[in-house]
Amino acid sequence: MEYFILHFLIMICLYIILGLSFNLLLGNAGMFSIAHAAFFGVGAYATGVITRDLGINFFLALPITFVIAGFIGVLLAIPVLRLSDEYLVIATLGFQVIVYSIFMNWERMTGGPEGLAGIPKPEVFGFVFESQWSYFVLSLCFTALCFWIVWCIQESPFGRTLKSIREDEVCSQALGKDIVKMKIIVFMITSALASLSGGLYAGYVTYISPYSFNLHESIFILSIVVVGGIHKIYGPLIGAVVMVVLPELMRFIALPESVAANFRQMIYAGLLVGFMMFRPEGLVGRGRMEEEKE
Amino acid sequence: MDLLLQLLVNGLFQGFVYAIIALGFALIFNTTKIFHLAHGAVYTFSAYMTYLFLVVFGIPLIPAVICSMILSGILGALIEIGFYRPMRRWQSSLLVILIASIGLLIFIENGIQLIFGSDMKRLASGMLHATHVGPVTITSLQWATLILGFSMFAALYLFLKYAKVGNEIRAITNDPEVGRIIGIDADRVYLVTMVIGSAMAAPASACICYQTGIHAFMGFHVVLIGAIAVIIGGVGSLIGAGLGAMLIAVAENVGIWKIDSNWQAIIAFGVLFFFILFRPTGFFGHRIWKMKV
Repeated sequence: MEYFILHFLIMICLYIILGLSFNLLLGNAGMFSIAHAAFFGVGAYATGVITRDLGINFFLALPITFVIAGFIGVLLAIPVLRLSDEYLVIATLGFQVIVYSIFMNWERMTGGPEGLAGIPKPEVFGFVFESQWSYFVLSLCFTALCFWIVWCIQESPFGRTLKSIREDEVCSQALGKDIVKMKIIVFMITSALASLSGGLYAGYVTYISPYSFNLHESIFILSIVVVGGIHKIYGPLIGAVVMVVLPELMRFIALPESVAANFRQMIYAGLLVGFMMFRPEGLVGRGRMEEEKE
Repeated sequence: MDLLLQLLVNGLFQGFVYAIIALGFALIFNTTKIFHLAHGAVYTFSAYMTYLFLVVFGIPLIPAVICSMILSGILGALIEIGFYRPMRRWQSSLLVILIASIGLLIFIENGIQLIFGSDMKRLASGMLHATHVGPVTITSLQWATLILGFSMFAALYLFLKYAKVGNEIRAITNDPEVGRIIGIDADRVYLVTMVIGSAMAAPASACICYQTGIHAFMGFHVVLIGAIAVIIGGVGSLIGAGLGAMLIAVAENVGIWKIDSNWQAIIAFGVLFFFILFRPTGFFGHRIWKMKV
């Protein structure tokens, strides 16, 4: 039982990091992308390949992963920057599908559908993060770090500019803000943060396969953010807890495994629809009335 | 060379199926401005209904497809009345409705899998008589899609041009505000649009039943192709959407010639990115990256 609880706590930490970074994109910059699982996967694969095949320490591999994921984020940002709303959704969705295909088919690097096995656990000065407890502490530290980074970004002039872009792109352009540069930077930061979660995931499960980074995962990350609350930094925290724990409660109802998978998906899809209909600002978001007053 | 020609022809015929989906999607998107990704679920639903009527109840093909059209029209109406209409009333932003639409898509797809199981359903293709035109082989199923594609397009065109409701749809598409001022019931127009667009998915999905078989999660890919077709064809243009769908289908099929079939899923998005980068105005000169106001 302790094993399961710690497992959930670790997964919640990873999803909080993903939610926080996605929130930077959606909540702060108002850019709606469905490609977050792709960056999650890029982080996992990059860390996996670097630590396993090149034998580089996990903590040295993470910065390299950041650079790779940040670079890929910029690659995505440049063509899709000019797009708005629905077009951005479709283009990032396309990016997600393309990256997933690369995970599936670039067998020499990613191992194809069989995935990447035998990724070493993180190790620092001879201490290996082997036990569940140590890994939980490690991911908690990284989550706190992420939280701090995102908070700093939100409070900085850069964060305020992002908000102004969200509210009125033309107006902030007129005030002399280089919105193209801002958007590229925010894409870079969110993809780097998402890859951090991916790296932690690879080090935790030690076996990764493309199926963990598909389109549904992207939508799941999206649902974490919108259920938690888009504009608040606490939103993804609450969202990750709710969205990870709630479907797992289904395990206590004895359902055959084939049915249970569909049921869990239906629950989270239902939550997504329900929140969008009745409380689009999420659990901790400001109500509509408060929004109008400002 | 013969192979290339055959693939090109296959692509063109596949294009008719995609074009029907893209037409339904474009009709709904142009009129209601909702990016109706749940259309993929309607498409999957209609395929399973056709399968149900044909195989389980043993009804002949054409009545089965008509029944399935009616049912998917009803599903479209339920989505409109149950979800989109209240959200429009509460002035939800279009992005919020889009997310809800994705949620609906996943919900319905999983519901279908729960009921029908996860195995691939396929209809016996007794109707596949091949005709040879020069070096190219064309099956009777492909001829059927050709006839279906053209007749659906013609019917939609005539409906929008001459029927009273069709005119109302075009008016609301052009300018909802003015449409309301001259006394058109916009809610009713949206409902009719959803019903027609959804019903159009049924014949296309029946073709897919024979061609490749159906499974519960096939809708996402198809609705994405519809969405990409709308974007590269230029928003607001039904012919553009049809042509966009044709182009994607041809690219997907001809792609098999040189590209490993594992990569086939990304060809449609490759076409999309090509258009975004090099021809952002679409076929007919509408700008891709800003919505027509």
